[in-house]
Amino acid sequence: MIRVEEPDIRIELATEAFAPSGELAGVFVIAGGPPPDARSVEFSVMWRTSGKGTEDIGVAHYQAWKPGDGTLASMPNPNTFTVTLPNTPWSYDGTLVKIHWLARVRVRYGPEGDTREVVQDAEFALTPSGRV
Amino acid sequence: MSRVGRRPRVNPFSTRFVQPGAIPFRFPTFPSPDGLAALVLRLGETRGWGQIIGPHGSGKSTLLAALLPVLSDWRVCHIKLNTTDRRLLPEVFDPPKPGALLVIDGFEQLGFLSRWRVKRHCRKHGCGLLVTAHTSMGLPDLYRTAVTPRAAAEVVAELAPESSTDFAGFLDGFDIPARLRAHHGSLREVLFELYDRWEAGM
Amino acid sequence: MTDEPLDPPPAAAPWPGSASCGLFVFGFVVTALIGMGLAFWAAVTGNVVLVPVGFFAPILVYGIGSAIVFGPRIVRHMREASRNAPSPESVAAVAHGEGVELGTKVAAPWEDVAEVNPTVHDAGTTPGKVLAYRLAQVGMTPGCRFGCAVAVAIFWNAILSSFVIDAFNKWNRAGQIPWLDMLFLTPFVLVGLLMIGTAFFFGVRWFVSTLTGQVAVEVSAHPMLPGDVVRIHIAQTGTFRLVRVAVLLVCTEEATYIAGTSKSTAKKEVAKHPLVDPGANPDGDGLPLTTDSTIPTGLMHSFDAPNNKIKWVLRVTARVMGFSFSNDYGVTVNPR
Repeated sequence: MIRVEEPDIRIELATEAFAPSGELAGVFVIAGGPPPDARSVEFSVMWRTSGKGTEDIGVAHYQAWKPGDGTLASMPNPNTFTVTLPNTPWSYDGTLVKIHWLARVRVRYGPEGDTREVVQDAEFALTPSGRV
Repeated sequence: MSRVGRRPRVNPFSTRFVQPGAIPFRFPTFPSPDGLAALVLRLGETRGWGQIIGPHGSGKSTLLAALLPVLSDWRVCHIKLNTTDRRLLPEVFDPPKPGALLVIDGFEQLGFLSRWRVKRHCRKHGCGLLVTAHTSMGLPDLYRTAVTPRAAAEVVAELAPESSTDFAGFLDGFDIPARLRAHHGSLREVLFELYDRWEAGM
Repeated sequence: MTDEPLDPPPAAAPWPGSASCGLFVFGFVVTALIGMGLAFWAAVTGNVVLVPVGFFAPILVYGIGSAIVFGPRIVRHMREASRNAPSPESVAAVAHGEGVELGTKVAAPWEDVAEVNPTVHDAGTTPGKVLAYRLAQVGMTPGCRFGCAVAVAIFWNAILSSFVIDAFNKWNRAGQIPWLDMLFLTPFVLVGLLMIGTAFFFGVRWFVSTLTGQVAVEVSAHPMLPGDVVRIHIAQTGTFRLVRVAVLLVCTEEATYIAGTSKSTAKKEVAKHPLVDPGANPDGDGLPLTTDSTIPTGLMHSFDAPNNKIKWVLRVTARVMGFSFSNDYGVTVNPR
């Protein structure tokens, strides 16, 4: 079967806010599984800045599944995850500088010479109070 | 309400929405794909030699970002220079492969001698040279960028559509053509001003 | 051995009278005006070489004369002040026994702390003499500002003077005022005068800061934690005493972006928290000052990324000789 539509990725987090050094818990699922021509599935927990300046990013957790090393075939789907978050940086809604935390799933697929990708983000708050 | 530990609101005029490549380049007289195709044709006619010139914030880097992906007939080597990074790596002067196109964004950051050296290298090896600058660098004109008030209004409408309840009344009292004139045709400065306006209003 | 309270440190030597200071500044202003007048006269009479001589000579003569007349007195004052100044041990004792103790363990080096709080970088401190940490001053010094202002003023006015002299020569030759030239040059001359005025203003501030001396700020804890009580000690070395000293904790956001071919950094002060209020100190509002302050809660921690930063400084403001004084000292605010 030739897949014509792009993969449908859903990410659900246990809550909207987490405390520093806490555990980020959630699940992501690729509806129907990764495409047959998937090159990689990547899951990362990261922060990025936004605002007036050039964006910076920092990665707290990164995991990749690829067909070449056999990990993609055995990737659980749905995939539950628990990631220990760092102390900093906290989520911040500044004027020139803003800091976002997100869980991201990126799927790369497609034949050689026609690589496509789909990225899905789920944003959460890293807040000292642990609550929104 | 404290800003700390709070999920940030998204300013529609943040860098990620206005940087080159994020906003499609708008040609004044024809749709973008046709405009880009015309530029690719013209570049072919001049054997890959051309310059994109225009004032600050008029879309030179944006046009380049739109043009690069459609230059499929060339082996593109893209270099971006700015006031803090003006050096050319020695690899630039290695003998290029056939069909090479050297693209230098910010060509005027180089000194006179470096510019002469780059031109001589490209002429000697028959590779193309496409540059952006604020004034003519002596290459054939590929395109002269200039922001029209209509284009500016279209860009602003795309970033902050007034039909959306989030932006209702946001542009009240903001005269886009007048602000464009005040910033000497720099759409970038107008967008920075709208960034501050959004932050102040929220 | 008794538990009697420690005697307060002996009073410092009396400061020079404010009348003398005012007279000195007034003389400096008059001298500068005379210099400007001489420079203008030299320009009008066509003696281009004498323009800088006429401008700087009176100031130089006044400076040398003041040093000869007032120098010995100032040196005597400073010697007396240093002999009568409270000893470091008594200052530390008045600060309830807190000081820099030998063998005190320094906070973990940044290689360890970075693992705990990524993106929170140390503002950089040195060991203090009274309290544990001496903060480093940030920002352009008054001398740098004065130097830059003078350089810009000289550059602008040197180029402009040739056009002005040419216009006056035309006037002398023709006997008629060349109105067109004069009208064209007027805005440029006004800008030049503004630059001279600005350079003069920064010069006075630099001079005042030289006499104010180094202002050192020390804290008992660093990095700072929101909600904690921190002891702050401020002292100065110079002759001219700072009064109405206030301390604020100021937060600045910095965002670096590429605008075409140039990199620019936008800065904005987003929070100012007063820590020391000059009116609230029962012992007076001058220096040396030692006080406990509570760092407010709910602060965003320091943040350092390549293009985006959140910086905290302790800002010390005061008044000296009628001028406002302000210095910033970098601090790190850790997350609690």
